[in-house]
Amino acid sequence: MTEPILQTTNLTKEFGKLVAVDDVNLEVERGEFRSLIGPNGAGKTTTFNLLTGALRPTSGTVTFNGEDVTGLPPHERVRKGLGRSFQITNIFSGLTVRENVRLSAQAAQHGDFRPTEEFLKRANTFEEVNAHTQRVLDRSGLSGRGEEVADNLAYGDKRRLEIAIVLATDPDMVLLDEPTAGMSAEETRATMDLIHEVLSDRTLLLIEHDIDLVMRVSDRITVLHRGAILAEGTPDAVSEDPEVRRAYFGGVEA
Amino acid sequence: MSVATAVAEQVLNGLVVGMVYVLLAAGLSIIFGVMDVINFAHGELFALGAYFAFAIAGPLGGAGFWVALVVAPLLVGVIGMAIERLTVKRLYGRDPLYHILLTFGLVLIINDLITSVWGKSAQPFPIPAALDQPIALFGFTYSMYNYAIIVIGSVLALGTWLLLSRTQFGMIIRAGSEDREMVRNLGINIDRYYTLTFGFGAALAGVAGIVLGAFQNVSPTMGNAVIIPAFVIVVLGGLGSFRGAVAGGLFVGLVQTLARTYTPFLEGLIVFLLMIVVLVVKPTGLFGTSIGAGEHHDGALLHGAGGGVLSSETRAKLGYAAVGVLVLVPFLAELTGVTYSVTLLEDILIWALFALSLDLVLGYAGLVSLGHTLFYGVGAYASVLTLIHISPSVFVALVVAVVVCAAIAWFVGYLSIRVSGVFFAMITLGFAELFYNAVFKFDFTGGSDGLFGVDVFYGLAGLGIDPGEFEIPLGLFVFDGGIVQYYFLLAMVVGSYLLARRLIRAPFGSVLQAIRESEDRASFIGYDVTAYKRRAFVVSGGLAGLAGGLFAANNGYVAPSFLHWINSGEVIVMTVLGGMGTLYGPMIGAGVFVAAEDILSSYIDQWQLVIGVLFVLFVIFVPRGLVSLPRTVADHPTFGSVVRDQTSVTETEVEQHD
Repeated sequence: MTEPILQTTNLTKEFGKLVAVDDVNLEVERGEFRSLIGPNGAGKTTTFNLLTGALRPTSGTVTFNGEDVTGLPPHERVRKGLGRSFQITNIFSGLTVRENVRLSAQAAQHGDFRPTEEFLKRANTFEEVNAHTQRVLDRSGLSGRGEEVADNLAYGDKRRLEIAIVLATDPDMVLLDEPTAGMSAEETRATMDLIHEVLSDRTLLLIEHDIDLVMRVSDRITVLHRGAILAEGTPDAVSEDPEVRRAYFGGVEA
Repeated sequence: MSVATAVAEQVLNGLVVGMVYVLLAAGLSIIFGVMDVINFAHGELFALGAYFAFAIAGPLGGAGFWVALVVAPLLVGVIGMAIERLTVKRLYGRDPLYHILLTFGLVLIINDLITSVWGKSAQPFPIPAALDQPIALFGFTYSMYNYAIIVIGSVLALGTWLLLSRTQFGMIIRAGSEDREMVRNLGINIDRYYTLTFGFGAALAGVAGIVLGAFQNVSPTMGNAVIIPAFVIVVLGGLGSFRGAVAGGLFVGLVQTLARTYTPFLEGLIVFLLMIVVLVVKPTGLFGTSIGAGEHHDGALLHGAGGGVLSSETRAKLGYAAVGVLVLVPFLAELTGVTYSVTLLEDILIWALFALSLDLVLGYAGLVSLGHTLFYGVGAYASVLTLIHISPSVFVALVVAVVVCAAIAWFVGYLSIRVSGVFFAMITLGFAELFYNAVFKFDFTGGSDGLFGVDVFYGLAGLGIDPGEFEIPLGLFVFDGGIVQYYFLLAMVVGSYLLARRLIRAPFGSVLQAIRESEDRASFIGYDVTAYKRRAFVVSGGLAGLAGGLFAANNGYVAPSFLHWINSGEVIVMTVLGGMGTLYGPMIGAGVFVAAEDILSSYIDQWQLVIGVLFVLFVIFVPRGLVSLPRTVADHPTFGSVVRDQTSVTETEVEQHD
């Protein structure tokens, strides 16, 4: 077995007396589509924030690509290849679609800019960044809308742009925070298709509470309950697990 | 008098001043805690309390003081409620910056009203005879009035605490400060409580004004004198924390009084040093919690939008035309004999540069620097000191000014940019006040006089132009040193604008724009948001230093007033007036502001009042600034139709692409 791309060791987060995440040991294999599910209050969002770097754990470590990233702030984790999408569409709404993607592409490369370039050269004249931007626009089906202001896009296209921004950071792994929250069945299907279409060659970790969706799309599922891992396995195995049924379905036969 | 008695007396004096601060800070803190409003007009409400009491007590004689002590705060409370209803209320949900701006306008209005009714000079406000005598307690004699202040302050503070913690009124406003929509959904008319809270805070300020007025005297500058210490107290104690306001008020009163007696050098400095240390160590203040107050920014900053009507080409042409006119002005001035206009334009250009520098942090990095005059003032001092001690060359002086200010900006930014929002504003204000008070203390800065009579040489190593001797007659027109100065200034300002624009269009600036749109997003595509903000602050500090240096070099002097917080307020006003986040907007704002001030002040005495009123209306109705007016007009249902027909949709897109 190869080394996991993402691994947490005894990851714990306490808020005062509340233990939101309790001794979680998570291993995500390279290339898999993993889902992290659990009822409200199970600690999904806290775990997510610990993985992105938005929160620091009380104890335990997060290892990404074999490197301890526990102490790194979010932007450095992103640069190491750990991308994320937002639950509520979070795009640069006053800028054009192309500029949104360009900024993201620039982030992946701007460490190589000389100071004179960083401060004085026109931002839209960096050939590699522009080429990468165009590739991402093409891949995410937005190539025709590059000059539109992001805020004027239809809802579905905004989600598309959100994914394109993540893709442009060239992540090895993408953390998806309830990408279909508040969507109709139709929109949910479209969004999941989009994720498959655009991000299928990356490792994915989906945080979700919609169990039916998770069953459909995941390679493996980790079930969180009261901050701890309750079960882990393929969708079939997890749905058969009596512990999971009791915790998640409240004992009611699904 | 023994040492112990002397110390005891100083401690009591400290408590007296402290009680006044407690009353002021409590009102300020409650208003902030409940409504997220940073009320700069609080000091003026304090002064109003004193003047109302002065007006009431005078005719009534003996018992007048006691009547005034009850009636005047009520009047101030009513005025506070009116202010909330008519102005503050319209800005809920916007970034706290807009309340700073609004209440800054109110400061100008109220202060001008006070001076026009009661005059500019300080007036005595006698202590009631019954209290105007010493009393012996615990073995030493002390003024009875001072004891009375301590008692009045304690009773009111205790009463306020009971009101907040034990009554339904207190419960509702505390709940409202946590989640105002939730309280509204419970069927409670929270707006009414906001109005009452504002009025209550104003009334407390009124009481503070009365007791201090009778302790010292009443003067139109009394509000100005206490507002900054009051802010320091609120920040020290923890924004929105009542306990913090009480503890902070007493503490600052004691420290100030003791410092005055025992370490005179630190008087005026120690409070700001304390504030900076506390904020660096514990950004939430001594009693503040991160939850509840200060950190729930829900409103966005509104940026200027020139788009829609004027295309970028049109704007570029307007820009060239403006520079063209500015180049021709000295000739026109000489031909028409209106040489005064050149002086006014020099002023405008310097403020335009100052506003441009602020726009980089305010409009692009979203940082409300409340102490930006720190860089303007330090730039001026640095260049004058360089001219006196190192080299008469203006080039050397300006380079020193820029480098020194950039270094200070780096240091201040390093300490404060990890702390967000309101705290950043307060730390920058604290540093500016620290420097303002410091320049009075040293001989090398010229103390309260500043430094005068500096000669400037426009060149290096003896090669260049001495404006005092330079003169080339050109027919009707004499090209003299003053004109050299003017063109040099114009070149520096236009050059700075072009540099700033270039920065904004480079990767660096594109990231700032991303941060302005969504800080979270920028961070999660891999940008170090804090580092970018710090860099923007350094560039901004350098440019503000250049503006200050240019002013000092042009006029040959520098004075402590360069560092006064009013400058910081004015430059924010200019930036928002023009339309922040556009670079050229704030420069236009500076032009309009300085010109309006100049014209109004030469025709009417109450020009501050007029500017204040205009500004309040502006903040409420045109928050995106002058540059947004074409679009606002175009979007207007009736006026707009004509304009709209002439603009195509594609132009809006071109705008965004710019």
